[in-house]
Amino acid sequence: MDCEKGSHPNSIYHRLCYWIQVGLIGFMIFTGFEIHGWLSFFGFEPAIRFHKMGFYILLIVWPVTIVVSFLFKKHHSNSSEAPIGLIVFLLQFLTGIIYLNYNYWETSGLYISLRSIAYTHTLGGFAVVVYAILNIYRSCVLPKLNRT
Amino acid sequence: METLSRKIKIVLVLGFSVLFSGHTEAFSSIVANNHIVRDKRDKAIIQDHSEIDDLRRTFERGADVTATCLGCHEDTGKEIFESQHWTWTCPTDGSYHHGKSGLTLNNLTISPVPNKFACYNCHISYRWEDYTLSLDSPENIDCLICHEQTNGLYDAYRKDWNPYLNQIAQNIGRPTKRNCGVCHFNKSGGDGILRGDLSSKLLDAERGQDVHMDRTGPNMECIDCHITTNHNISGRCYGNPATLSASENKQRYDCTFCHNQNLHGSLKKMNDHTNRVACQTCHIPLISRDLYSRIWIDYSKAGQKKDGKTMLVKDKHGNKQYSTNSGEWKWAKNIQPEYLWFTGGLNYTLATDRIDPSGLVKLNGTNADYHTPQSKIYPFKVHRAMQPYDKVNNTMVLPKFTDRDKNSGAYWIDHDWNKAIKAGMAEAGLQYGGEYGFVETEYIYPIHHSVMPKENALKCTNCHKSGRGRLEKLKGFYMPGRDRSIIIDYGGAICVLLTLTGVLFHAGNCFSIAKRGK
Repeated sequence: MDCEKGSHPNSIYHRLCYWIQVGLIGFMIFTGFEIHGWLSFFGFEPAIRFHKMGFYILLIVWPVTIVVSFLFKKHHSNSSEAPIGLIVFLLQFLTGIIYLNYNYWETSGLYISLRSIAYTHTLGGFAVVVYAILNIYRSCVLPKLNRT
Repeated sequence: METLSRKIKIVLVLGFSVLFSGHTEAFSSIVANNHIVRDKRDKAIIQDHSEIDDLRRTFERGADVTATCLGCHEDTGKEIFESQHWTWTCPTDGSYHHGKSGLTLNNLTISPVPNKFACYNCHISYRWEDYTLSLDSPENIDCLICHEQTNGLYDAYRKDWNPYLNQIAQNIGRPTKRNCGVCHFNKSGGDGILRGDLSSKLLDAERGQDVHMDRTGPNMECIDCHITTNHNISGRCYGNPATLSASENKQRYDCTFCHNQNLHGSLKKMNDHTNRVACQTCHIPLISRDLYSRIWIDYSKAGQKKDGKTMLVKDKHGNKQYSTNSGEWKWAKNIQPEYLWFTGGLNYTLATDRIDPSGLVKLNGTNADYHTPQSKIYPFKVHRAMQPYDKVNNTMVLPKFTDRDKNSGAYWIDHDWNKAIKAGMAEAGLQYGGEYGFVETEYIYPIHHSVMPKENALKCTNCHKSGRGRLEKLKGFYMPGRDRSIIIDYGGAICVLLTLTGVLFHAGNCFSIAKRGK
């Protein structure tokens, strides 16, 4: 994909981090909706395993991205929906951790219902899809259109 | 706000702890555990009883053998009198209402109380023939039924008198599954009929039939799990409230006494289920896998005769379809268990309790749901029936089916329900209004045996799927894969579609403006 240069960081580290994240989030969306029962590709159990694995990789990738951004002091964020994305990803990240640690809720004094967490996480899943569409459009399609 | 940030902190810490430590609490190997059990069993040597002089003589009566046993095992008589095998009541129940000899009843044989002639076959005593159980005479204890090791020589002659008593008395050992099976495989009158998870097939089991009794594997005995101390056997007693641990009264035990809850391997989602799903639920996916078991009996259809003679109709598998004595029967094989929330305690309808005959009468129930502390999902065999009740008092009744005395009013002799109920209730010391009807009942059996290995266990999607999963009937909680919010699903899908359309419109507009601009 030939995206507009300024819309995402251009150092090799940034590019790597960026595309790894794009791939991972796509993967999370796919496996997530398979767990939800809307897709059928890996199978339910592998989908859960992969969704969890994806989360663990994100758990490493995100701190690295933040550190890299601070080190190179080149943290661009030209697109106006980036803060929305941050909120949505954070929501998925947090509800995901809570969901994953369901068995520790009682002992850690967390009195919430599984249903509320599951619904929020599903809702967040749709939000990620919406954000992905908007982001791809803004950063990849729109600049091309503007050029023509 | 402060508490919220604390919660977020906790969650973050937990998230990281999951990543780095995994669910790896003292992960133990089942194989090692099996060896521990077997070692214990093999090391506890029993004296060769054929060397005991007192036993090297000719016995005339079983009670004589018992008297000899008690000569050395002095306290055993007292132990037996306190054991469930003797009292047939639940030791946690002070009222002595719960148990075979109490006021509880089922919907298969209903109650042994007025049917001592036949049902007390399984009581561990001699003298059942004249059914005057002398509960205070230890010589009436039948030691041999549990301890003889002649591999069948005793069963056929299980009476006060036996021509092989001498030989049998010298072959004494710790009970094997064959000893237990004499009664427990044949409960309710036939091999595997009652529970669907216990049958003579366990005597020579393969791994797929029972992972613990696998003859080429652990080859475990009943008493390896049903740990017995001074004749107090851990096992079935579903009192309410439930007794959950072995230390409480040694009546309950659990898979987790041997198996670590994280044995599925670290980081496996299966481990996260063990707080709400019993091992049995996934590892006993089907019951009655080798033999048919009964699932329905309709006593209201009993009594029909052909040319004045009693009828017995069997199907091609040899299963009773109809009999004059007990009406219509239905059988099933490879039964999918029904699932209920269960704490280990069951509530019973006693023969003195009022029932509502307008609907289904549950003779026992788990009385638990998702919100009950410590409740887990367990598999059950459910037996349904049409059985008689007292129309005047609205209580269940205990009919007399059989008796040595031909004029006792027993149903299998006279085929008259009114007489049979009257006689049965009188013998049980209960009131009968004089008028009977039939009511549909349900009796549930928690399933714990015939445990299958991992390759045969249930898969995620047996339950985690929408519409056709095994736990479809269990409501009141959210289950991923099964439950969804229509509002979120459709709302989310509409949002995605709207975004796509918006983007396409916008692109179209841009494109046409650009074109016009050129």
